[in-house]
Amino acid sequence: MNDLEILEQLKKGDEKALDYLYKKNYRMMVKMILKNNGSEEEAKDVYQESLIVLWQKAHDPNFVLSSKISTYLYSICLNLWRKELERKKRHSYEVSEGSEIMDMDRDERIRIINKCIQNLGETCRDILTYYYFDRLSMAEIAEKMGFANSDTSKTKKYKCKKELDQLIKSLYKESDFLD
Amino acid sequence: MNISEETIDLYLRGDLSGSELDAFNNALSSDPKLKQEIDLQSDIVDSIKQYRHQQLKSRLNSIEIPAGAGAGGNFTSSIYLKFAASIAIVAALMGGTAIWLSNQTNEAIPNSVPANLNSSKPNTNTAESVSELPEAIKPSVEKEKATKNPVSTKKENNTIATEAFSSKKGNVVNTADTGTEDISNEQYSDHSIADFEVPSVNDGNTNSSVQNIKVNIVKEKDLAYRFFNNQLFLHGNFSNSTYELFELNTSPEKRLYLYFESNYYELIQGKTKITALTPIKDKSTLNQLNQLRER
Repeated sequence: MNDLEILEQLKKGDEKALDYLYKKNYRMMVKMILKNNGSEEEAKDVYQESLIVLWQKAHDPNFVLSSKISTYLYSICLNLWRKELERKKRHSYEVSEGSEIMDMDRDERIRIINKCIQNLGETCRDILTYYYFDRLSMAEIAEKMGFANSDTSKTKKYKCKKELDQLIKSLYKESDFLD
Repeated sequence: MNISEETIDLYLRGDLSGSELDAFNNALSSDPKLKQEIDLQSDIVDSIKQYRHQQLKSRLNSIEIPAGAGAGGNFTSSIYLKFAASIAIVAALMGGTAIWLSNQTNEAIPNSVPANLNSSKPNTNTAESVSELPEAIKPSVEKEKATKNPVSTKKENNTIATEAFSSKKGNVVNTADTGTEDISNEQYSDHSIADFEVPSVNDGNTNSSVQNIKVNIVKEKDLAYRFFNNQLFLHGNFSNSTYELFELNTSPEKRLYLYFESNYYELIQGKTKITALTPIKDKSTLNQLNQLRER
């Protein structure tokens, strides 16, 4: 696969292209981070994050790839790793106190939301994640999910979102967090 | 201003811009009820995104990288053979006492030599930036005693196997010489292995997949783990508090987590070399795990 083909696959939301890229560039990216004071685990983590950045970018209609994918990936990786190093530097001066001020109500809400996402049917979950995270179009979702056309995707997406909302709101009310 | 559901959805997906976005923000600031709804909706969309992010990450995490692809493996075939030989001994000792769950997991845990021998060498010369990492990941090959009690743990979609173990200490581990230059100077830590049982806690669901997890404890200062010969080895000091193992069913595959002293850790089933454990920080994963644990 050449870069253009890979990019096409990525745009379509084909995870196999992601797998392929991951394997292909693993050595180079991990090496770069290892050379820059990272551990292999950190390297792997940052590299995976970089690929997910690329995955999402590929769906941006304004996205233009002006270099080789590997070069592009390398620069994301490097940036993320720099950020991580800065973060670590900052943290090393503080004793980890873990005193995040948390909004308990919001925590509970997010807990409920996550539970509902877990409980949602796989099809619905796929449609919604493809729509919001992968930013696939209705036509692309139809192709990926094997639906007849984009209208089917649209209807399903609408229903799934409604189902999720209702699930969340019913639980949310139960736990008396509204009012 | 009347805001259509479609506009709300465009806003949530980040597709509003310019005057449309301004109008929407105006409506938000003048309508507390709409604001409340959008806050909730934003949290929902964020959680959906996090779910997918986590899903993609675990997909990548499960990909096996061929030998030498990582830190640049440079061990020779003779070392390979030597190493393989010591594994064969271990395998013989263990003699099929533990079986990992389904076929797919068996595939995920190759019975072969861990890929990057030298990459498990601790990075001793990297100064302050690595100081947060568990200091050393000691490469070692233990010859464990044949395990006595492989306990079957019924696994459902979301199973909690709670460990209440009694550790029998004192099984001395012999470290096998792996023969690599890189690690030959390492001081092997004084491992002790405790065999214990995994009692199963059933959360009521029934599912066909049955899993046997054999867990071995290797007493050590730093938390680490590895999967070897279809068994899980947990390195760390587990004598003061109990730990729990979870299985979380996120498509495309099940993932295994460890809960220990208020932290969660992911146990990746392809890891054949000793891997340091770092607490999971990802909010959505933590939420999922907390829910699972509370059940």
